[in-house]
Amino acid sequence: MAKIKALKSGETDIESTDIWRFAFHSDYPTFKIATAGTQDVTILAGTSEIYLDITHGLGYKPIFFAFLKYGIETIPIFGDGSGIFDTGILDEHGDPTSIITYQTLSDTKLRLGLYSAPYNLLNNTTFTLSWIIALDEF
Amino acid sequence: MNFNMAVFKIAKPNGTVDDSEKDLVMTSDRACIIEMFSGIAEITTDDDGNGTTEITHNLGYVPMFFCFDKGYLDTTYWYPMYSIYAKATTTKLILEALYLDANTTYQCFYSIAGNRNDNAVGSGNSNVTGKIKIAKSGYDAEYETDIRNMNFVSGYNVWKVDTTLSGSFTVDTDGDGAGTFEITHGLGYVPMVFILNTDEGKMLPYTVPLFGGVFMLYWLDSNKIYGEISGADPSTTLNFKYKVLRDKIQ
Repeated sequence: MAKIKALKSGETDIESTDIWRFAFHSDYPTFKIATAGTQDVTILAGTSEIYLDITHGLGYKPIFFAFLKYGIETIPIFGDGSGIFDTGILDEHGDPTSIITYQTLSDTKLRLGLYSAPYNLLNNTTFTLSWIIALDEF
Repeated sequence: MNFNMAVFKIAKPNGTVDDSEKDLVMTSDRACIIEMFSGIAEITTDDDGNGTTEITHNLGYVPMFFCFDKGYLDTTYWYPMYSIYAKATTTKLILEALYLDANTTYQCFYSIAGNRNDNAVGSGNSNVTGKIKIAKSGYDAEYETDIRNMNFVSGYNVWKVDTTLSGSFTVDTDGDGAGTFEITHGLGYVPMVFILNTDEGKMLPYTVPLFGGVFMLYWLDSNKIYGEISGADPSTTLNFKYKVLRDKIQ
């Protein structure tokens, strides 16, 4: 089959077998974005958790990337335990409070969630969740 | 202007353009993740083990990004954002070492996309480059200047999946709920790799044991993918899928 290739800037050998030298190579699929979005979530008074369900409806588990924004900084969300370890809000002992994130992916939806730690100290605090979900099956 | 354009599709080797979109190499109808900046940054810690390095991207929005770091647990292997905290603003990627070894230099590979982290469109940048350009619906590739409005440009790297090297595997945990895995990719360089625990639908790593004390981590070298699990259900088979990219960390 014919191939379509584009070398990265500075690379010169279009016949190279080092695929990392190519910006694009038609033998190697790209991630193709199916859906993406962003939404604010707020930990309500009396609770310590908030989550958001994002329906992708693909019928399989896709590649995805998710992020949490608090203040001016945005962090990635992983399986369990990524987070913001100092929100700038102090607990009753003067220690920093944290946000711990989690994700759960099914064949139909992606759940992005976060907990405040220690419990129940980030009431009425708003965060922004963002996500990119690819068509590509994991 | 009429934006009802023909669709450009590339099938996988041995596939056809009539295959499902997810099984194509690319389609002009879908945005790729367009990598604008990548490299290896160094973070040197102070006497307290803290340090920060900033990578300026100046995109004016928070981009999609991913990092792998090296040096805390072992100086040979690369870990997916395990020791170095990565966080982005509208102008920078901030790489932060917190309470690691004092007066030590750590490495962190970063890949910053031109895509906003919600893939939204926008205007104000002049950073479209390349001879092959595909704009998002409603935009004209010939005149568009902001990378957010492009599905593909040949002037920047796009992540490239090796479907042959990607796949699935299982791990049988022992009586303590622990297990390990080792997969050979054999590329001769360290590739970007993503792993999903398909039982729970969670991408690795699990770095803080929130639910049931589960910990899952993987690391990479130029020949293999390695992983370790602890705190899972005892004597259970765990299922995973992984994607090996041909894009190089080191």
